[in-house]
Amino acid sequence: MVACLFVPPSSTAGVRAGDASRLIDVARRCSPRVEARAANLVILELEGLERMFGDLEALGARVCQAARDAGFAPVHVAVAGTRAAAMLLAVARPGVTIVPADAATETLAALPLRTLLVFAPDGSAQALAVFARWGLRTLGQLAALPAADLSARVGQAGLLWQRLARGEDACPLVPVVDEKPFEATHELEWPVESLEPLSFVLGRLLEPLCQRLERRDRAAAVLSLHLRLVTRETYTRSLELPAPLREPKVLRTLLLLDLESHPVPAGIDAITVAIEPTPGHIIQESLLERALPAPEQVSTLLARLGALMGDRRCGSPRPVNSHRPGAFAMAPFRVVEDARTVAPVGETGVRVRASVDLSRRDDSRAFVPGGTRIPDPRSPISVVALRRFRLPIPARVLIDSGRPISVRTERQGLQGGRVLAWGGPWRTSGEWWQVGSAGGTSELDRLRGRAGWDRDEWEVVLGDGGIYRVFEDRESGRWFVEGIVD
Amino acid sequence: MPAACRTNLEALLRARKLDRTLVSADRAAQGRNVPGTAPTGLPALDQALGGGLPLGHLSEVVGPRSSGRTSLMVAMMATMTGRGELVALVDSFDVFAVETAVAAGVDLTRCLWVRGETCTPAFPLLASRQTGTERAIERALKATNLILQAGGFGLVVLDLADAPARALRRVPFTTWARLQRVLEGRECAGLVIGNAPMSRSAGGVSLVLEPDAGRAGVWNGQGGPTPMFGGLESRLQIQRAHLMPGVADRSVRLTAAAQVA
Repeated sequence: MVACLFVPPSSTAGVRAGDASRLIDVARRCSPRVEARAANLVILELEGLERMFGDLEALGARVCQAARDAGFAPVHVAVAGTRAAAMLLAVARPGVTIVPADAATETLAALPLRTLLVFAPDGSAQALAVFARWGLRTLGQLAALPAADLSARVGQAGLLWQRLARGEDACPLVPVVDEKPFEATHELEWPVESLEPLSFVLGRLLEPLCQRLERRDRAAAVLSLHLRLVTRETYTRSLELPAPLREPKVLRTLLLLDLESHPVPAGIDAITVAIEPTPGHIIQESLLERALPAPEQVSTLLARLGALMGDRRCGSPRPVNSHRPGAFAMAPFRVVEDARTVAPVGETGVRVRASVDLSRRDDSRAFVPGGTRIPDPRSPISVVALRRFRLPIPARVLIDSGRPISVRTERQGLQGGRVLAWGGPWRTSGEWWQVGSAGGTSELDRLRGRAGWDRDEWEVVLGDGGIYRVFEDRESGRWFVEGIVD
Repeated sequence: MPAACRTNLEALLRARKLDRTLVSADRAAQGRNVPGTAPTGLPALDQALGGGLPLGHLSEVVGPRSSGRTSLMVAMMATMTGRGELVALVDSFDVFAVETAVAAGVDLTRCLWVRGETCTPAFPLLASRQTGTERAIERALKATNLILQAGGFGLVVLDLADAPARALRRVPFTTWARLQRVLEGRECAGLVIGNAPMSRSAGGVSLVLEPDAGRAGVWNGQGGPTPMFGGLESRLQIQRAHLMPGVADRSVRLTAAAQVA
């Protein structure tokens, strides 16, 4: 049996903000399993409560009295065998209504058809309008219609409304569950000063938290660790996970890797782990496509790589909207989950042109003259790659007749030498209108600190056979090696 | 007697889990133990290799500066990402040019870029400061190991082209063996870029690049007032490919054009 507690919107108290939670509190005084269907309508499951509170009349009276004690008046209370019947009766009849389970259909038959609007509070029930045009006025008339004919005319929605009119439930009860914060704290008897004992404590804290997450079909989006130190300070680390996770071992590993990169400055007295939940991540695997790495794997890998190589040294490169040489941005690496099609070999957009090494060359596939095209990713000819020095290497360059004839640097393995062939210059400049943070001690620092750039680029072949890109900073007149063409 | 010795040897290797480190030419000729392949983006090379680089093995592309190693690497990354695969690049000395990859058509959203030590004056490749270089190589090897263990990538590239030969010689053989062991049996192609052969696994492929006819690059308008760099032409030789009989010593021509925006 179930009971329905309904507060009519037209009551003197009305339904104010916050009344929904108050109504749930009232219902919980009478039953542990409560479903909130609307701000002014809650359902209570009464199974097994008879021995505690008496028969159904006593239960109904208790629910009504509890609501009145909480300041809700007037209230409608209905007790029936199904939730649908209880809701319809509570909406239609004031006071306390008790209907035995076997008499629900007969009792509901007399109720007006518009009572069904309680199941569609936004008025989206178009089928009810159709029933009204058919001349149906009561729930009994709708319940008496032949199901096959009703389905043929209105579809499955018509059958659903007919089941509700008969007092039959369409879905199970969904009880309200308290949203307790996903947080756990552990006070240590002795301070912990290393990661190994800390990992055991983290495991003890994370396992029940992850069990709760799994029961609630949630996963961690942000993982926070608050460490109370012996110095009375609180050391906090927060990890924004790239994908929702609820594996305790993975979360513990991520926390330990982060603490390895950011050591705790003192001994730890108390540990608090807090998780911001998010709906669980559901992945539908495909039989025809190769499985992508799991989010747990990617998160752990990125954390390990970050601990090894340093923060912001791992990610996915992104081009930026700038003509500045070497400009790029780093984005977090995410596994792209879209419809993938594995192309057959040889049908990809870009490839390096190649031909079997025969004595004759295929002249029809000769070079596209340099400097006459913008690279097209669909082109059958690839582009030459550059190995770019993030900070250009200062060079000493001899000039003759306006072109470099010798390039030398202080770098071991990059001594330079005589220029055997050359191309250029390409003059580029930009962002000279930006105000930069000019400063620094060396020429290179000054060059880096300037917001804009203005330079002449050359490609030169040096004595070691390598092709280098060098440039002259036109403002300072200094030369630099920017990279190696490879 | 030789058959018994061979059986004993194979049993010993199997007991030590090293049975995949040796490849029998007979078995390869019979078409067994031939793994799947990852296309390189060069149709002629893929044709010569029977589809591309073998999966589950560590291959290498070696050659001198400006021989087209990086161009081949970027072309392969573009091909693999174009097929929907994830690609990881361990850039030991942080020299990867993103604009080049964009121009080559690499889907950067499928690319994990691990940036090593910045090759700057503050981090010189000086003989007196080899410790820093060795540290960078060690970190790059560890990062490659982590990526291979994590799995899920179709291509993992370790770029050691700027590493001095002396530092690479100090890398223990067991390190390469560990990488090869991790890679075995995975649907992933391992690729090492370097100056000289160093790390190919038993079933991997060694591709050696040399500038074509000993000249560096192609130059347009030479003799004129403003000659232009036109691109690279190299000869790519398949030096070793034990799992692919009849492939070794074949060569293809690699051509890549200079980009001008």
